[in-house]
Amino acid sequence: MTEQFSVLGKSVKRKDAIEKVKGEAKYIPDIQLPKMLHAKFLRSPHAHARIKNIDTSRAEELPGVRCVLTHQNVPKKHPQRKFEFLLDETLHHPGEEVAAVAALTPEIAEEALKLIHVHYEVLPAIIDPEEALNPGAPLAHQEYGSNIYKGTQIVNIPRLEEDGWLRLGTGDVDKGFAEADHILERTVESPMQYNCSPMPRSVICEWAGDKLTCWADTQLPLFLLRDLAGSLEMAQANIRIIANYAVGGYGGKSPEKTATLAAIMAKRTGRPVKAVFSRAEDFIGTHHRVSYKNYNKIGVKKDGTITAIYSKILANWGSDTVVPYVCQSSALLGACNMLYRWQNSMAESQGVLTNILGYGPMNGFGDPEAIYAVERLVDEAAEKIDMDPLDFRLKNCMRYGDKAMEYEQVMNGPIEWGILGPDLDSFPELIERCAEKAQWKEKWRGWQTPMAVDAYRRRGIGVSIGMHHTSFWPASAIVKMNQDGSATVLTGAVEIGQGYGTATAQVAAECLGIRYEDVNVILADTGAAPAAIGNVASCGTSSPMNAVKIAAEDAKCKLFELAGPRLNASVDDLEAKDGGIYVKGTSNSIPIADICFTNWQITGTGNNPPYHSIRDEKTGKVIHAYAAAVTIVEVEVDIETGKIDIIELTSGHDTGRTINPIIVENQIDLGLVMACGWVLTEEYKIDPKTGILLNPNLLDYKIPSFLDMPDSNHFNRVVSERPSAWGPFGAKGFSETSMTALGPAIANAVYNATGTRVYCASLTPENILSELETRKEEVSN
Amino acid sequence: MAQLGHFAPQSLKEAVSLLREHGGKAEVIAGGTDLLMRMKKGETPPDLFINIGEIKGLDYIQYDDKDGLRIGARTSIFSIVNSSLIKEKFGVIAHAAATLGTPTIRRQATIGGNLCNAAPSADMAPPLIVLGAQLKIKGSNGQKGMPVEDFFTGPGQTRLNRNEILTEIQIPNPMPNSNAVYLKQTRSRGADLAIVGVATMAVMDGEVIKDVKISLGAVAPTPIRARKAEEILKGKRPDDNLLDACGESALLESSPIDDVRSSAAYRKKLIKILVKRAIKKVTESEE
Amino acid sequence: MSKQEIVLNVNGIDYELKVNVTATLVDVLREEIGLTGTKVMCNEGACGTCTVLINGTPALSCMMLAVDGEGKEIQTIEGLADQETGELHPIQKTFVERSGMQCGVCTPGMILTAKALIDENPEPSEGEVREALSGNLCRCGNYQRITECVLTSAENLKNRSTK
Repeated sequence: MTEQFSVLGKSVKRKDAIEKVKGEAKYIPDIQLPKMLHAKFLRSPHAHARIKNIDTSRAEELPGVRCVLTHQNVPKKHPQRKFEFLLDETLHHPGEEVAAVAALTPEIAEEALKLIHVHYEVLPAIIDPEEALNPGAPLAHQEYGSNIYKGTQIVNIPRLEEDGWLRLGTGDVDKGFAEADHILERTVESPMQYNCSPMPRSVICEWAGDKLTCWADTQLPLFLLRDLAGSLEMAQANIRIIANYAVGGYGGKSPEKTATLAAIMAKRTGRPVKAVFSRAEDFIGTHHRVSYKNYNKIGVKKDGTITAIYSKILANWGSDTVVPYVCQSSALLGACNMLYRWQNSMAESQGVLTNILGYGPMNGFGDPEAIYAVERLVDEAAEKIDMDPLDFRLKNCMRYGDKAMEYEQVMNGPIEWGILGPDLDSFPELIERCAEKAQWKEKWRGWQTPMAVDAYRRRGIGVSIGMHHTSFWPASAIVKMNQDGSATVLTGAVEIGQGYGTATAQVAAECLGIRYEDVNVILADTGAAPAAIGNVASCGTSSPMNAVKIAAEDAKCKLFELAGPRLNASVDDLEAKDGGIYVKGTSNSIPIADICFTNWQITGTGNNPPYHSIRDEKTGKVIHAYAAAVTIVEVEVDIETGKIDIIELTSGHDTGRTINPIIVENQIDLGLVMACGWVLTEEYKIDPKTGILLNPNLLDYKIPSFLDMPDSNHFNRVVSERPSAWGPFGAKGFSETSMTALGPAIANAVYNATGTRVYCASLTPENILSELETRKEEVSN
Repeated sequence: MAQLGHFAPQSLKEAVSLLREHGGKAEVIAGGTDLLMRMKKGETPPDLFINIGEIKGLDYIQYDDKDGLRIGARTSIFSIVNSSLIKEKFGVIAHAAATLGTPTIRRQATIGGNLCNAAPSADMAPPLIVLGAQLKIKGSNGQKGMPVEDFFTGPGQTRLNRNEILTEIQIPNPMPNSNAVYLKQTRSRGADLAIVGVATMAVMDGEVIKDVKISLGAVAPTPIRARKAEEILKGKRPDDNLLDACGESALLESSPIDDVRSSAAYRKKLIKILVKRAIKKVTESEE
Repeated sequence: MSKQEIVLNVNGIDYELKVNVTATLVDVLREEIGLTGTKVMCNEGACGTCTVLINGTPALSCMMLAVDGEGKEIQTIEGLADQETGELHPIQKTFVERSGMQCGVCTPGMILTAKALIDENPEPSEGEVREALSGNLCRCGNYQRITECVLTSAENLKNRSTK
């Protein structure tokens, strides 16, 4: 499929590779500006408290301190879409900012924090989300009046119902359950997870007159721009956010109010201010993956048809969030309208406020959390009817033409069902190809039959499917031709490490018929690039890159219009290739550089078409943007210690169109390793009484290492390419999807290995052992 | 604010003399990894760092038939892992060293540092204890020795006086027909502290256990010997019931706690399992 | 806080410095000397990101006092390419050609640790590569790719030296 392209589909060298291997890439903490001050933040030790008195006089007197901020001397502004103010008199989670200090060195700033004296009035706190729903429970936000989130003055969720539930459904679930031969139900919690960006959060703010430059480690420059402009009461045009070399956000990384506080201190001192979080601070001062309590009920017939699903999701929000209901909307779809051809489905979700650090988006955005539960119950259903779990998925998985919706509609309405496009016929294809690669038919011996038993070791195999949206959003791009025929691409997207700049350059080069080396991509500079949200929700390839393609096509049109008369041909007879504009089928051409030298105003612009304009040819329905995943895993379980080892891993993903194969593979690996950590090794330990995170360090919060993942002989990736209806050349973002299937696949494999269903959230050895013992007791009782 | 300094004495004599002069305000470092870790966690740095990194004659691995193995206190964990002599004759020590930290940390960390830091989970301690290792300590009053087993007095605390430096670890020749093993349970396959560590050594007389030693790490304020568990095994043929009883006894002799790494309840289960497995490993005949 | 005058030899150049005794090597490299190629991810020895080479062997620069670096040859990622011509070291070339990085934060530490491995063990197996790098964490999950790059680098270096 990719043979017809000259640069698309090739594993070209990354645009950012050389500077990264040489250590020359300047990330935010590496930037040194003259007269720069360093900021540190005092943080609340309490889950819920009011500041009765705060005395910063000694801190201000410390030599080297230039500015101290508290709630008393900053504007009362809400950072974008949040409950809290920039600095609040009332604190709602451990670690919330109480004061900010800017000083000549980070050490002096740290010392100054110790000199700030705060008298707290400790307020009753609520940590457990289920307790938070009990009448009489302490309120996480006393003025709010309820622990159930129902929007705020600045946040309105139109479809959120009066009782605080967001609901979505199709068909008639009661009828569906009535038709079922078997009904199964289960409650499974999904664990929290810390983003653990390789670089803790950082930002630098510098003023020139009344114009602000903000170097921000953010994947969402658009939101940050709105946030800063709103809080500082200035025009967005006068703020420039530069986010090149943003670092692995894995969803939602942005400095949020840290940037605004740094900007205020920079203004007041007349000097640039840099804030770099420590690792412990990043643990407690950013956000984490939301945790759900999932209740699912599923109805199946003996022949394997799914007749109904009902899901109820209770989400522990913590004290606040930048993305109210966004993750749940995605999850509701995950729980009732993704993965399978649900005829009758109903899902509802409620957000519960507690006094712990608030959640934010993290790789998967609500879907892995919901799928973690659904796919384990589906496995039970397949067993109930004694059907091979792989065949069950193959029979019921979604494909082209099945009804689908975009998650924002779940929050905002109107509910208008569209469909999945032809690209989602990748689902059954991936299941079959993964099955073959993983030798499923040979290794699956039937329910309750492990692959191998050896003293205390049990080996088993499990499968799960996964799915996630790959958002198609508004975006603009500019492609400007330089006088030598090279091209500069200006895009609001962000290189967060995934190779985005590289893939974008490949798309532009392919369109323009010039060399990849002659395309430079300027990313994430709001002063230079047109607007795009950034890179989140797997929208990068689908959205800003699509706008780039449109802009490149626009530039090419202009080249054709200029070349046509000189070649004595109409524009329809021209093509761009090998650095020239050619009359098709001949060698009659003009170098692009030639055209650009004499006509240096060649600038292409591109804007994405509206979402609902992408329609299916056959049915006229809107095609929705999704990607599919299938994961088959073999595990070995030590039934005496509960330890799980991944022995073989096969994972399949659909990319629409692979722009750069190595980059695609790297992105698949990212999701798999992150999922492995999420369920097996990473434990986000919150003290149930104080709400304090007990392990804010990388010694005790264990992300996977080289040795926790199988080696190359035991690891297979499968890629399907069916071009999507949107996205440049049909390519789509899929990196979050790669996270969605491994977790439940491991749980299902543990069942095959041990004969014991485990319902715990984290599949840590301690939990597994506990589950094995509990089920044993249940059986003997 | 106190004056801080960093000295790198050229001899043990000089180091000891510095320690005597500065008493409790000084701290000895070799690789420095443990001390830096504690400082990063908020511990006040010492007024004086006495860096013994330049002292010759503290970094060696020597063996003779009479005294057995002698390891200089400043020998890096990396050197121990890669010593073919240790791997061949005292395999359990090389194996334990290979589980300590990460490959890079093993280059900086030293065997003396691991013992003097005295974490209850110190990886080198249980294997040295079951092999009957002895320590040589040099102070201003001269030299003294003590068994590794007696060295620890509490979490992070040892019998080292303020003006003393650990100089050598001596491990006697293994008995004939003996085997030793170290099992370490961790949370992930990457580097980790032990949540439970078990070392065993057994001397077999045919199928009968002639002598046995069991040492546990991370389950008490210090690394410990499980003497009662040992007594259960001596003179017997190991079978499942005996191993169960042994594991049970070891559990009773330990006092695991809840901490950020693990729970007491889980540690208790692990103690029994790992002691059983470790005894099985050292008492099973080689194929 | 007392300061000590030291000379650090970094990438072949002697730097005369006055540093706090408790300053770590990574802080002095980055803030005093301005070599920001060595990155900080955890700052407490758990991730391997800050790895530099001391006399050719890997060391965690955040877990080392700067004063302890005196008299030793310190090599950071900036010192790996040919200092005169700027030509990339073969390991760096492989990482470029095979996209051995994503966000790039772990990359300098990975490359230097890999160099030390290959210098000591010119024909490592995949298991040996994974073991040697097991103290270097990559949150972007690039373990498979990095392993391949290191194996390919070893192969290339071997072929180069046998020519």
